Amino acid sequence: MKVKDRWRYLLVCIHVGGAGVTREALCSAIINGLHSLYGDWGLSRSKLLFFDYNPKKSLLVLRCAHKSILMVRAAIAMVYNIEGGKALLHVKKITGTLKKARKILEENN
Amino acid sequence: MRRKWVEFHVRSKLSDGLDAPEELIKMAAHLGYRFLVLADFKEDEGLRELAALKEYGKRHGIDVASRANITVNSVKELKEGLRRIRRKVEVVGVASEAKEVVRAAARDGRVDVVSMLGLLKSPLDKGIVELMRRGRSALELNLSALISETENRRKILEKWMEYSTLAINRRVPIILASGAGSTYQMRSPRELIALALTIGMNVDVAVNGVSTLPLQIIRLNREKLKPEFVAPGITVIKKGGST
Repeated sequence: MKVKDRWRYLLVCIHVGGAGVTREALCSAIINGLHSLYGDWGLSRSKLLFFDYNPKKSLLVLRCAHKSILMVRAAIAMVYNIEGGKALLHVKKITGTLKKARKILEENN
Repeated sequence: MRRKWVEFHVRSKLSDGLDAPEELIKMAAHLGYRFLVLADFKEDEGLRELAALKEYGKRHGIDVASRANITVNSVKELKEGLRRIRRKVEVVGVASEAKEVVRAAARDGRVDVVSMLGLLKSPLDKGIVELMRRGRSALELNLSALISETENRRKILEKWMEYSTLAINRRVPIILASGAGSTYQMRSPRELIALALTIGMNVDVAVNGVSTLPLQIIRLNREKLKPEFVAPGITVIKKGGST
């Protein structure tokens, strides 16, 4: 019997020096961080999926497997450079549903 | 009661950092910290600005504490530095590449933390860790080396694991700090904990390393800096008259 996956939705707050970053650059920075710490095993285990990115509010919603939250947080801590500019990423909120994550994203000013 | 997170080591423009201390205070508040330890106070000039920074921190919900980082290469300079600064700042940290300096710092009760700033060049072995245990100083692991040096990341992680295992085995307290020289090097407490857990620390050690332990050091040293302090547990409550 296949056990149903449990997901967590992370609202990641982004601070970048200079101009903003693109969604692609942001996603690849997080993936690279995860890969440099845990390799392919970590990437596959975390089952990362990127959802909404709001450059104005500097917030990104991503999904990961419930078991790999620590790994993803550690990877997020490792992101220091995005497209040559300095960056600081941190998890603002963790939710259990995408609906709730999107609601927080909309509410946040 | 909510846990109070402590950012135990950041450097601002007042010393060799890149950003103004006000920027660091604002970022610390944004990341969820309640205490920020500014490691900028080697001389008296910086200390003059401390009162204004504490006031600024209070407005942002941050308790600002002062720290001096002693980075010297001889034991004589270390002793002189400790004599000059110990009664003026709330936290004293020592970071050195010279083994005899780290050994003397570990033995000296006036040193709060032995910092592993330049992680690859820091000398630390079983003997020094044992001295730290007896001298009741803590080991500080800084994240800045790990995030900013991408080429040596593997070696730095190895050192993190080696040093943390040494400290845990000898029951030396570990403090986790960003060691940031700019706002972009700061990390939130939960991210620091996540990183510590990935290198094999257990949850209690990691969580206490960002909250309880640094808080204890700050509170104890604040007590010591009060004029009525005599010794731990002994304070002057009233001075006797001449008649």
